[in-house]
Amino acid sequence: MTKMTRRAFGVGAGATAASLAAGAPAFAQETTIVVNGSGGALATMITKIFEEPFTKETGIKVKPTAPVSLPKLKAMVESGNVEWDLTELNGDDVVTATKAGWLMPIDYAIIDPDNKLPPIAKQPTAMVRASYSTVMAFRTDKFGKGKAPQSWADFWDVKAFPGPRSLENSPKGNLEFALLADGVSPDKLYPIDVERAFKKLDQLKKHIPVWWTNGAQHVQLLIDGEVSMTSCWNGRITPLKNEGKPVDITFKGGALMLSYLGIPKGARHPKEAMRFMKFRMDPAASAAFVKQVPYPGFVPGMMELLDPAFAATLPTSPENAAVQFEFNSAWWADNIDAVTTRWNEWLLI
Amino acid sequence: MRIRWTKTLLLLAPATALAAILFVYPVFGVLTLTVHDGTSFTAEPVRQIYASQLAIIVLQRTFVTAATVTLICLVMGYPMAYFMAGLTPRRRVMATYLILLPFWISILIRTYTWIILLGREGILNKTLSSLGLTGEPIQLLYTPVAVHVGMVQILLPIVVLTCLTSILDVERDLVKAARSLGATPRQAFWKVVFPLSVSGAATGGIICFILCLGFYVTPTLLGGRTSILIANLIDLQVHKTLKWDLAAVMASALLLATFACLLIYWGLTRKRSEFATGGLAR
Amino acid sequence: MTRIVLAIYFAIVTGFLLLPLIFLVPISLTDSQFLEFPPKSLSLRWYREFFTDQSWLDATLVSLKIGIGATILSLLLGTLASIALVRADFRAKGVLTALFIAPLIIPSVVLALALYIIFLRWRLVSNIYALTLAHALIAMPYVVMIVSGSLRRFDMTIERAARILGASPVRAFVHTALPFLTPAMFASSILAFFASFDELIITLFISGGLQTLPVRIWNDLSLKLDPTVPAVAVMLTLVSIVGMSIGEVIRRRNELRYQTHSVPEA
Repeated sequence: MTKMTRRAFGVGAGATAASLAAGAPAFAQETTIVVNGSGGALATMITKIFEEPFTKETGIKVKPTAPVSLPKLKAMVESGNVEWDLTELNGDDVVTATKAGWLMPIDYAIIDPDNKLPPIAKQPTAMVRASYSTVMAFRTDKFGKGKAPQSWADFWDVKAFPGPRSLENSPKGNLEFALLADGVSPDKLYPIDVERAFKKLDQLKKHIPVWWTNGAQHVQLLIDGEVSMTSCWNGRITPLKNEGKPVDITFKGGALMLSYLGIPKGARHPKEAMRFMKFRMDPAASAAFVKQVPYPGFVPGMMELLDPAFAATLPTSPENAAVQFEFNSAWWADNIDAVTTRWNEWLLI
Repeated sequence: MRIRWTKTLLLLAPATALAAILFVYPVFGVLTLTVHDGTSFTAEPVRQIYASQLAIIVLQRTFVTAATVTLICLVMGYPMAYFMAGLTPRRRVMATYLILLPFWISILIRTYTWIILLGREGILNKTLSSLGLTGEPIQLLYTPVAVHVGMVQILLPIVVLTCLTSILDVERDLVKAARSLGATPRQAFWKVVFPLSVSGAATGGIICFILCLGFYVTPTLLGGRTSILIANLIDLQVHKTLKWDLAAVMASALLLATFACLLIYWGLTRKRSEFATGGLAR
Repeated sequence: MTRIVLAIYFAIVTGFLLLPLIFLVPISLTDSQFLEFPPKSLSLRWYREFFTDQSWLDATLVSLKIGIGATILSLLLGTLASIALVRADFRAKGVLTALFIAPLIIPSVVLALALYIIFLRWRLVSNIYALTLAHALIAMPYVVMIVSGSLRRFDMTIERAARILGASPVRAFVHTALPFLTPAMFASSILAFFASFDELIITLFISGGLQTLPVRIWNDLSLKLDPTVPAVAVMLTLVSIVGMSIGEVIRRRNELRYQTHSVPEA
């Protein structure tokens, strides 16, 4: 509680300073910024830890929307009717969107006046918000005592681990998982052998009744018993495991990804959006957030506020990072169109 | 009491304007998009659809699903209607209300409840396994079976009611005549009621078929990726791949199919009304 | 014998039709975080959830606004058009009737795509007034069908009498035909309202950031399955059953009233 108060104070002072610096009139309190994210329990947490205190401090209301969608961003920017003031973006989305000119340059003088953020977090058109992993999640009660899948090869092994599975309705990550299951070593994944990956996916296709499209859905599928295994984002399962649900994840073979925040070109309130981005980089609030949702970013001073035992469960902890591979956004940005077309044809026929 | 043309114009203008601006013009826009890319005429979108296995397969699947669902509805619905035709008028009204009850709930929610019923750990599977009928849960949700069940549940009332109307039309005049001429009830049904009410049932079938063609919610929520229908593919092309011209070609195909069905429908109803007024009814 | 078999069959199929409704109520009354049947303990928790969650309330409000707007518009435009369609004599009558009813018949996704493309160009996506107009368009067929059907049954001798007694055409219409039409207008406005209130596909395409109730439910369904949706569904069902029943009662009362002095068609 004291931590919260301190954080509120610090942030309040910072926000006031920022608003003065930006010359924002004190009565600009009625603005609402639309912040697009991936929805679900995560959005609830973001609302509680970032958006509500932000509104309290600045009077700027925040309206969260979902889901993250590059085509929607494109349609908005090109039609000139930009609904979002800020949106979460994946690594390759940032590359594509920047090339196409759908994102606004970011003024780090507002977000990081003391220059504390590491350079990797500060892309010209997007700021790293979080790092997360796409990993394998499974039901602990479906395969017999003590038996749990430990690799993507196990995920593909329908004899040893029977039951329906789910994967994301997107080629991203899935091609890598297929190659890992096929015996490709993690350092040889890129450039991706697309042919080989689809061949491997063919083997599993009929065991996948449903392809998830967003982060809340795979949790639901697992909890409802619709599937016994699924790929998932590392933050979604832990709270349910702690509630006593028979679910678990393994970081082995996971894809370590970065998630960004960017401002669409033509956004109505870019200044307010950047103030909110600054707010998101507050160490105490971020620590509180990561305790709930284990997606750490590069917020300076945050790790020091965390319990070391807990820090070890984060996707970026040394042990966990060692068994995962780094998702290559650049490769995907170059190949996304061709692979997506093929993916749709492959999936829907 | 005829009204003057200026007044007619004034009365019609607002509704016509609304329909012209928000219906005719946009739909015409979609139709042009299939052959015109904004600057010049092109056959490219149509060619692409023709070359795309995906579009052809989904179109085929849509027609097959629509035909299957229509057939199931007719086979299930006709006996229902026949039973209702034999009830006293008061009871028939009550039966009609009962059948129409699900109509008052949005399609979205009716579809949603099937998720709860048909899931692997859903009500049906739990019941079956607790009765010892199945060991492994049956995969129903995210299969074509679930899509068909969901669609039949939504469309059956329409088919029952159209069948009922046509049976009642026939029965009122003809069955008494047939019976008084010595036909047994069975003969009266097979020789008179059934053949004469078939065309009425067929019109119900066509309405059902047209409605099937545009289904979106049910295949999305209850079908796996391989149960998607044309409406879902249009949605995908608009929102995921951003190929509006391809979406427009498929929408036009859908429109064309609807129109063809309507022509058959008009043909059937006209024949029926001629038949009813000019033929036996007198 | 056949009757008994048919009766059993009828009961089974009707059961199938009503199946979703039968399960919806108990599921909505659960105390659990997840969908379960039968519920282990009963509570109104998810009904409370609806009334305390601002986003559900906002979506309901948006739907109500659009629904009421679309109902008024479609009722006005549809009734005026119906008068012309029944009373006037002109060549394009068949085409116009088909035009007014067409939005009901063509697959929604076609109209959704068409409107989406146009609205993007006109920058009307996520504009509540544009959405209301689009809803008025899809609600109008109900008004045109019901009101023109009712007007056709109206016995014109009364109106003629009013004219002979010196009333202006408008006055004669307002005092004779309009009271006759009121129940049909009421019934069609209920149908029009629900056509708008339930509309999903077109709204999904053109609503942008606006969330109507069906869109809110849709988003919830693709994100998670918690018992709020069943609770909302039960409430919606109750509201629509009450609404439709009132419409039906009024329609029947009116029919009885006019049956006594209606003259068989010549």
